[in-house]
Amino acid sequence: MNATSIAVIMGLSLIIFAVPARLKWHVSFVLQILLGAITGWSALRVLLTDTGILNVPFFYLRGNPVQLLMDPLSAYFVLVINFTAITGGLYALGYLKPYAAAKNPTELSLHHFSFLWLHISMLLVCMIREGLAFLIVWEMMAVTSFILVIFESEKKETIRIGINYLIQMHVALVFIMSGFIYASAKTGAAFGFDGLATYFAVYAPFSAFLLFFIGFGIKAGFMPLHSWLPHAHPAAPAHVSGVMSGVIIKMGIYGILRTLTYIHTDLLFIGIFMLVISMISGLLGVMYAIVQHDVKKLLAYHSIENIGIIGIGIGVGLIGLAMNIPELAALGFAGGLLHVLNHSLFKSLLFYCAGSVNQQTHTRHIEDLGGLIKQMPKTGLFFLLGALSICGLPPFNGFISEFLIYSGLFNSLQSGGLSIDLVLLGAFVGLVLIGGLAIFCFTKVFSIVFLGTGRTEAPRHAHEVTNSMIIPKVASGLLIVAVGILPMAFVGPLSKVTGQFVDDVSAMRNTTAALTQVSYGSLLFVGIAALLWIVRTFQQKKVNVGFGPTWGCGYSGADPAVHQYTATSYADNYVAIVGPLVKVKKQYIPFKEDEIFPFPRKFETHTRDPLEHYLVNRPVGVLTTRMEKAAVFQTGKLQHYMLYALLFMVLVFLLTVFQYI
Amino acid sequence: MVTLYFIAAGIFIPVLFFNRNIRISHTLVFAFISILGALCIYEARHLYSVESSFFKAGPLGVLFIFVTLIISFFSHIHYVIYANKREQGARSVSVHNSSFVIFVTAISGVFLSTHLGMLWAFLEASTLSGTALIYHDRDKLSLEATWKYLFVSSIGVTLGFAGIMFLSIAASNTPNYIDELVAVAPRMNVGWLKTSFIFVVAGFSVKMGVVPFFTIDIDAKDSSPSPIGAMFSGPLMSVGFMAIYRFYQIYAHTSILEWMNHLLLVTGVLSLFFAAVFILKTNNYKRMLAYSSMEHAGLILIAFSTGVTGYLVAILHLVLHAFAKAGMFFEIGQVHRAFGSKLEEECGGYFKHSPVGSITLLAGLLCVIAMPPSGLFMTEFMLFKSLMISGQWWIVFIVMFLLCFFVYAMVKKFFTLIFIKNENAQSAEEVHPLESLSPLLLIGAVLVFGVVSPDFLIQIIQQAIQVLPGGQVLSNY
Repeated sequence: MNATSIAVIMGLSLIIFAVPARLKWHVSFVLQILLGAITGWSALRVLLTDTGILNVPFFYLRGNPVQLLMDPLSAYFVLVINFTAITGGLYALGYLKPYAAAKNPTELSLHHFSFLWLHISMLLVCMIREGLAFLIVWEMMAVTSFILVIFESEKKETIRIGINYLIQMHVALVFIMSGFIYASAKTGAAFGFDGLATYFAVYAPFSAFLLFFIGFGIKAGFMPLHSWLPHAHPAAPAHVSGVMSGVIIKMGIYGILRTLTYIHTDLLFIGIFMLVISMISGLLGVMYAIVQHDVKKLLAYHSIENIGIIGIGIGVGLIGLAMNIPELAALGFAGGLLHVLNHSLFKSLLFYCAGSVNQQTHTRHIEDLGGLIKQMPKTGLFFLLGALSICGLPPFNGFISEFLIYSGLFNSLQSGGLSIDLVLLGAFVGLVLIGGLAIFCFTKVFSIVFLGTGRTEAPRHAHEVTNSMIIPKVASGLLIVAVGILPMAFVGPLSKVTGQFVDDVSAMRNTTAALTQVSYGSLLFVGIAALLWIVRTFQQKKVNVGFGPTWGCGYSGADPAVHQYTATSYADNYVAIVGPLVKVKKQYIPFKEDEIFPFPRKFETHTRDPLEHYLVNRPVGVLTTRMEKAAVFQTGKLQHYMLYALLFMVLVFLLTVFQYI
Repeated sequence: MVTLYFIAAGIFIPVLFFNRNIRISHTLVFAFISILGALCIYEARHLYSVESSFFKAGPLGVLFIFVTLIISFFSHIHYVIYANKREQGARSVSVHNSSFVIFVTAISGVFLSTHLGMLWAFLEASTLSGTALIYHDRDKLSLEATWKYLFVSSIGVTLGFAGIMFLSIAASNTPNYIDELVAVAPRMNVGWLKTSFIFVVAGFSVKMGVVPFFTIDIDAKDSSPSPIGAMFSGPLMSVGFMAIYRFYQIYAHTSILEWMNHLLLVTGVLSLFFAAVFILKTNNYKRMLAYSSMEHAGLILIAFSTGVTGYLVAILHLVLHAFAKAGMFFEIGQVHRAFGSKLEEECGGYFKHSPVGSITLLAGLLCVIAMPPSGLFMTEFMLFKSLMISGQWWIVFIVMFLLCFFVYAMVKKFFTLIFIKNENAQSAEEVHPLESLSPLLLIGAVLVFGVVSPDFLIQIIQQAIQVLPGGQVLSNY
């Protein structure tokens, strides 16, 4: 990797604007592959060999040199970014086909150009430490992803969501910038990550950490900073949602981790802070997810949940560092880091599947779908794979990262005193609860969308999607299974990354035995499943299989499209239990007692995110209306204009007399 | 050279006024702008030499003349387009062009004057010629805006004159030459100086577009043709800044320095607040740009009040903002022509209409709301840094908080304009991509200055602020 090659790719990206519409995707994708190869190769070298930290001079910003630094942490994120961005790029080929006619060439160019530059800027975010350059690439990432989100710009709602996203990203930037300025103003050290080392060595870390946490946390989607996320993911085209959920929000995690590498004091407090926020995100994330009706919005809330799981890993890792329990520290960080990869795999896979369903049925509303596994068997199968792994079930990858965190928690019990034990048990219970609720949620989605019978006309005309949309799913799926079955191959290189936070990573080697057994168990499981499948096929060869309606218990008026479970009814018991936390509003006219022949009725449920409503929408709404009310001064009357000048002079006079200025 | 320049202006103005050939008229304006260019080059080579006893070019004056030169050149190009497309009559073109030349002359006069009386006279001249420029459309609305502008602006300039009077009282027998006043200022009565500075800030706020006389400046930018809006928010803001700066320079070496800084800070924050309040409510794109100019003027004052690095940041911000905002005004002029309206309800889907223009607007938006990598982000960043270093955390918090409103309002309204198709929008005319070239150039320059440090600008500014306390020690930026 060197500066010239990246600069050349940046320059070549302009070709996208010049070539005819049908070639734009090809140019962009080839450049993505090149970029992935160049940076991925260096990243692999850093992770797998003893190259040490790569340091490449990149360019001069206002006379200051900016370097690209690749240490194991950067290398790890670079690999994750490359994989997801490239599968996303490939998926775009098929997904964007229906739009080709409706969009003019400039719009298409802008989209592909932004996608490529999103890829570039994410890679640079992971490698640049100099403050100004970091802020520039960080904002570049926000702007390009914004342009990608508003691809369907003819919809007013999309633009509204996009603007909300952009503004929140700008607020995040302001927080990160304040953090950098704060640190460098206090110490006089360099502006950027390098200056943080000086700051954290001298001052108590929490105030500056909080600035960074808010800034990066908005990107990552920790609750209650998440309010952009459940809107932006559904509004974006599927490949963008996949990349967004897979890697863009992970840049927030990267930022937090990068900041943490410089902090060596007060870790217990920061760890507990991280843990609490992450538990809230994880639990509320999955709880809100269950009541969603929009597949992509549901998946978006699951992103918040998984960010929570990653945060729990980091949080317990920090507690381990603070309490000097190397096993907890190493396994916590390793679990959190591995979950970054895992989540990027299964979440992008799930978004690609949801996108395929959306493309074929033109709806994202769960209640309109059903029975899709018959028309779209491959998509259905991959959705099932993604669902199983996001629930943390063996033998898939989600299980491995959660297993690491679990074993860290378990093995460290009784080594840090009662209060720490209670915290760890709290984390444990939280993780278990999150996992259980996730299973509940995905049984709902999978069965309502793919099983049963189509509830409306929408799913009946669906067909399996083209191969260019299947290949990315196969790639993600293979890696999901690989991590699940051969965890050691992935956990091993991770010890280098974990080593940046924890000195003693021997605990990771010690889990080898357990993980190897997990592998054997997984292989056995896969073997048995395969065997059963073979036996079944063999046995059913001679059986005539017919399809017919479900037996209606003698009731002949049964309509399979109507008389089946809906997503709402599936979640109804759950809603009754957690009522106040997730606001679900039911709208219907109840039956009257004397109503013998009831007229047709409608039943609607509406959900609201209380955190978003009370912490973001309402204060912002109140503030803007108040501000707008204050705009009575521009009256257009000259007397008033004169009066303002007089008032101003009186004000200044009074301030001077009373010595306020 | 200054004398020659004024003589040239004296010849051009009546010729332009009586000439009825549009083509010749425009050519003459460009010829005059090239004379301004010659003046700029000449003065840059003859810094600090006194001419005709009233004029002397300081580095700041030359810098602002340079800004005026660039923006008036592009402004006139856009006025030519504006007049041609609207098939403006020869008479109104003549009136406009002659007033434009008076306006440019008056502005450059302000930048070069060393005598406070002369400075004031040119300020008043810029008000009068500006009034003629606003009254371009000759309809009821622009008539209202015009006489209000004339009235309020004159009152403002008169308040400024009172400021000069108070200074004269304090200075007793010293003639009103800036250099001589600087020398005797430390011996003057502090009470008079403070009173004088209050009147100066209040009065010349009408030119800079800050609290308290901002209202009329906003109306003027809105009701004049877009190219003139660009002149008002670039060169004319520099004029207001220059007027306040001259007095600041005189008083800077007295004990009221800190008080002045606080006064400027209060003015800046108040301007920021009122601009934030209004920008949320307006649905008129030109007004939004005007409020955004007011926001930047407020930021400039806040930066200036932090001293030393702040001086540099303020002036650099002023220059970069002038370019970016001029680009935005030109492009909004095209939007205005394309949709026949500048209201949010009647415009929309500009991207389908003019992709190049939309990209220009997007890039301009990036500059105006100070997102990296625009040059304005760099200066705002330096502003925050100097505020934090001087420990003014509350101001940092308030400024950042208020800036969020600008980002919100600007992004929301401009994206609606660019992307959302509007049923009420009637697209009357096509916009040629080449017409967006000059705004793109200006905005592009501001973007480039975010990545490449504009060293030549910084050197000039460093040279200029040497006369201010602490200005000599400013080593690097």
